[in-house]
Amino acid sequence: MEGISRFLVVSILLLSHAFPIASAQSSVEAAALQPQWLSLLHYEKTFLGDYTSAIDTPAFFFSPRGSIDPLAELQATISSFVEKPDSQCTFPARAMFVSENVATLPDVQCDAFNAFISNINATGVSLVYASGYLGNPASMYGHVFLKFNNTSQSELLDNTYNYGARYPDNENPIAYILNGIFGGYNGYFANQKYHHQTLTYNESELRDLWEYSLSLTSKEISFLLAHLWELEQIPMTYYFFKQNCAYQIAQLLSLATSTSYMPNDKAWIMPFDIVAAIKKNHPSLISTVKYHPSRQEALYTKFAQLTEKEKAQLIVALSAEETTPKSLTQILKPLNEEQMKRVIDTAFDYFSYLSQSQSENDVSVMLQQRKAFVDVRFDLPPGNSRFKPLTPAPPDTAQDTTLLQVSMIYNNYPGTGVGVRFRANYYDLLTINPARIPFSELSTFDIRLNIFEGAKRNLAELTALRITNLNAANTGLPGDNKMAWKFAGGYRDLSVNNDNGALYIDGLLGKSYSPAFDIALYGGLSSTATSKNNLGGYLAVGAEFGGVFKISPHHAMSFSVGHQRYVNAPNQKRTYATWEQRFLNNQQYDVRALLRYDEEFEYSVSLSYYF
Amino acid sequence: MKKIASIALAVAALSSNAFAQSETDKINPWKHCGIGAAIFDDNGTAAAISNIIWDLGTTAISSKISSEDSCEGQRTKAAMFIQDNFDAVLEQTAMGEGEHVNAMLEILEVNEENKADVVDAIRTSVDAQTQPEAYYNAVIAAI
Repeated sequence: MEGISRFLVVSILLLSHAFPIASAQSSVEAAALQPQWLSLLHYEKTFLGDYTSAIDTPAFFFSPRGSIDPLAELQATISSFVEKPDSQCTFPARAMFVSENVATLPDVQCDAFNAFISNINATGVSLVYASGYLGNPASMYGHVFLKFNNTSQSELLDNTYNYGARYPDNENPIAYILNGIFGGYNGYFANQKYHHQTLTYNESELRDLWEYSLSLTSKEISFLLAHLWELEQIPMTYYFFKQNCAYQIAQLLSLATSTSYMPNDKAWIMPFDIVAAIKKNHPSLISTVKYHPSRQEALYTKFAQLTEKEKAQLIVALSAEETTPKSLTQILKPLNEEQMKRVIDTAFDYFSYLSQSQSENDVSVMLQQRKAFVDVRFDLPPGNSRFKPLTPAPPDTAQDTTLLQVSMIYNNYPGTGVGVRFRANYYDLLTINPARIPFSELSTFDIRLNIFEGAKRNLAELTALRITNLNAANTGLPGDNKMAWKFAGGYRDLSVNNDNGALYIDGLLGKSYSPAFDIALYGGLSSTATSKNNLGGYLAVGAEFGGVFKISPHHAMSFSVGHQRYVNAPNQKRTYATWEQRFLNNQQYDVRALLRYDEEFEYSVSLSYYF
Repeated sequence: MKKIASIALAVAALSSNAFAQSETDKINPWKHCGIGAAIFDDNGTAAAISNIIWDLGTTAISSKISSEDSCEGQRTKAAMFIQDNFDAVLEQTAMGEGEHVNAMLEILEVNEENKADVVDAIRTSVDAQTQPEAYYNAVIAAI
């Protein structure tokens, strides 16, 4: 009550010259319910219709009831801004809001905040999307962050803001996953220079960056930065599937422009979803799209443009057991200066790429090799080699990530039926996958329900997680041949003609080969563990081979053939095969045809809807 | 991971306030601003700061930008930039141009018309064996 009385006194003093008292009070009440005020305080509506802030740090609020009462917080904020004008410097975005919507505030000089703004000197803002990274479960779905562009300097010196969870050192993997999913960690915004991001994503994790330059006004940019200033070291509970980087970045952009960018057709939000939602619903927000390739993609782009002669000399140079500047010069002698530059500059990408995936011993040998290339490059005249830049399709052109599928099925055992499938996320080998890891799959919560003649229902599959990374390389360069692998786990029918289900884990480890840009072939050791031994055993091991063919934008297909024997019943065996095709080139729809053999044949034709 | 830890500690060094502003130019960033420690030591500070993040990739350092500390002078910033991005910086120096070399020269406020001459001068005094600190010294000598 004391705070309210004080507020009334202050606001009367402030506003009485312009408005009647009642009008001033109603103006504050209206402002307290404005979306921008609610966003500034990170209020969310509860099921009961009340407000509660996602932030529970007392220092973030002026009112003791601030975390649950937008009006009390606005009143206390105005009081503080008037009585202690310096407090505006801690919350400059709130001060902007109050000045614009409620009352003129006393002037105050905020030196630190002004230095912050002038140091960033942003003339534009970009939303940067980092492609998925299968080396870390938390990064598989990609990442987004904001880049504040200062056109008067190199973009590597631009400032960025990230949002992510912080977790303790040496966190065990189970706790890491559970805490990340169920809110066990705090999330923070963090400021870094853009060159730190390129080092992390392009160089270390070999992830592509896609920069969506946004059409924000200078006022909107200032407001955005002012709020980021307010959020310095302010924790919010992090939830991997909802209140994550994508959610917080969408909230920030909404705050700046008073437009919602939150995809609202799902219970979760992933980095792709915000990029796709902006492109689909607010395309005018995006002015340009720029591609920053990983060093791996930079290597592939350059290597593909080398002449056969240049490729041959590069392979000879990289295959040499010991490389000195002298021996390298000798190897490159058949090439002219421009060709030598192209070969050496390609090799730089090769060394950078392989240094992230090789053992320490291999890296130390490779670094010696690299030194010879650097020295020979120093001996050549300065000037970049000439390559055409690659401009692949951006992530927003990929198929949407949640799948609803209806199938007509024919199966020799139960007969004709209808299948319904729902996959929460994300993509498979045949979806349209620009800006995703080539020849990879990442599926979570994939459930199939079949209904056959006689209304016989069958839960055919509930796969919790399926990851495939064929790592198909086509350069033929030494070391560019990482392992192909698959992992899947969940529940499914034991075979096509057996509707007895069991928990399962599938695995594969092997090698792959990409004879052409749109083709990958693989083979390797496969294993399947099941919780029931109705087919002979609990653990089957064997071999599998397969491939993926992107025949045209409208047609792609994959196949796999495997044969396994049960470890605890060697006389029992299992043979399986799949041949699947995708037709159409549309972000929301496709048609699939699947031929599956697992003890028995099954045929299906499906219509898929992605959202 | 060493590379990442070095970034973390380098940024941590920004908040130290051990030197007077007037001494900025005399600072050896490797000796005085913790860059060397970041390269060679897995000490507690680096571990605490590189204590990262769920969907953030690998690094997250939160620090308001400040311009008061001497370890944040232009030369120290350039030294940190060189240390963090040394592979790219050295490759591009060998090439004679590149965005990292350009950014480094911008940190040091080298005029556009002088950049090519500075790069030429650096090229004559470094090679593949050059380490980041020696490279930094060559850059300072060239500007």
